[in-house]
Amino acid sequence: MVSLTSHAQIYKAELIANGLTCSMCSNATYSQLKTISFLDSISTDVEHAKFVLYFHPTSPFDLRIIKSKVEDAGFSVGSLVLFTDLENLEVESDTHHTVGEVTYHFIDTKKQILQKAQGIKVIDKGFVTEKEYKKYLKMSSKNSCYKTGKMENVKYLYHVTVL
Amino acid sequence: MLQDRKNGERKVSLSCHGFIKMRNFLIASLLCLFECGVNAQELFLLTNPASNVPKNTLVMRGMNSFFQRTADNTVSYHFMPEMELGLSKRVMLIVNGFVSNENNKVNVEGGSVLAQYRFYSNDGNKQHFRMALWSRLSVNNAEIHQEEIELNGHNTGGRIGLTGTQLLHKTAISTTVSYQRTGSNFQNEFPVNYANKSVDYTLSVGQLVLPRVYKDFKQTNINLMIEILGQTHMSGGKSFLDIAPVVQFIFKSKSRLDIAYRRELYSDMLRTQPNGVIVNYQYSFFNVQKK
Repeated sequence: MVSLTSHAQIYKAELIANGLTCSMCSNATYSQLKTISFLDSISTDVEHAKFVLYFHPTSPFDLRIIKSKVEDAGFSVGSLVLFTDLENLEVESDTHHTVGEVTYHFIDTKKQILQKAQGIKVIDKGFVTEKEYKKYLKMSSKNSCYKTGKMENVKYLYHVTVL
Repeated sequence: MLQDRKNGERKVSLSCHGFIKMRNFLIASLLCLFECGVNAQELFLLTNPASNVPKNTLVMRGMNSFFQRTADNTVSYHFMPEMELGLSKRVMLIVNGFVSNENNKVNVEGGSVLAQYRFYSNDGNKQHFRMALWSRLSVNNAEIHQEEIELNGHNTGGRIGLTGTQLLHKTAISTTVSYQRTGSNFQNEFPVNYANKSVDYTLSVGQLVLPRVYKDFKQTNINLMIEILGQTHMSGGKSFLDIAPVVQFIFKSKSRLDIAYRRELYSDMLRTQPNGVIVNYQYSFFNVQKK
């Protein structure tokens, strides 16, 4: 496990909501997302049910709140891609990277150095389709934390893959 | 209406020729809906889809129906104010009231409560399949003047139903099956020769016509829908089948105007006002409870 002391942060995330087509449904989702305190602003692509979430630079965040808000609107998360300042970080499958209270566990990732503006996709249960979740579950059978979503002494654990 | 009750115990409203014409119209309409290839909606007027009102969202609705009384060709007006609230991601609650112009005066006739629980949801990119269980309890003090059982405005009773809704590549199809039981409307006793239990079934198809491409929340949406509604009495086996084409406008992704024409396709039961126009307006208030 690699620990970072820098104040790494998500500066934006691209969310695609599943299960909707209409603008009223998008508006319901947007209205739910607007209540999230760690988001600065949201831009919307109604045609593709896509929401670009701009994070507050210093606020602590909990990505599960985003999932919960999409579900409250009546839909589900199709994908959530994070854009972070973890550039130049070397990653590969089954490595953990901790930034403050947040730990990223990389799965299905070739050894590489993260580039600027390279997205990392959250693959925890509820952040991908059930089919995708089962695929990653097979890959990570040795890592029980993917199944439970929990890890000892870690407050916020996110399983991710590099796009 | 009186004449109906005296003489019209059984009636078949459409001739065979008329039924075939309506059937052809229905088939053509459905084919058009599937072939147009544009976006769809499931915000049906006369039935609820398995999807719920979002959590913490309040919808205020005013539904007006203008139905022709077959006995004297006068207009029976009903106003149904309604409040819909999303209690959680799975549960919504609907409360409405019934007001009519029967006997040429304003009558506050009753109200109903409906709760819906969405127990299954399988979402994909621009598609979903959902199932929901729901139940309605209604009270009404109106005069019982027809064999049709209608808990949404005419009869006192309870109804339990199951809804399945499929949104598939922008086409929405929803179907419901329900069982309902009615009784006397307070001082208006339920006629002993009327069936008091029925199975009801609906099929609704919706299609978004405009806009072709979404750009923002301010665009006005125009949806076309067809709803087919049927009822069969548990005793006696009398049935009816109605069709209701609906045109729907959605403004600024918050409010909705629906205009529908409901018409009887077939009936062998006494119905005093089967055909008419429905005009509905509703407004959604998101995040009503600030945290």
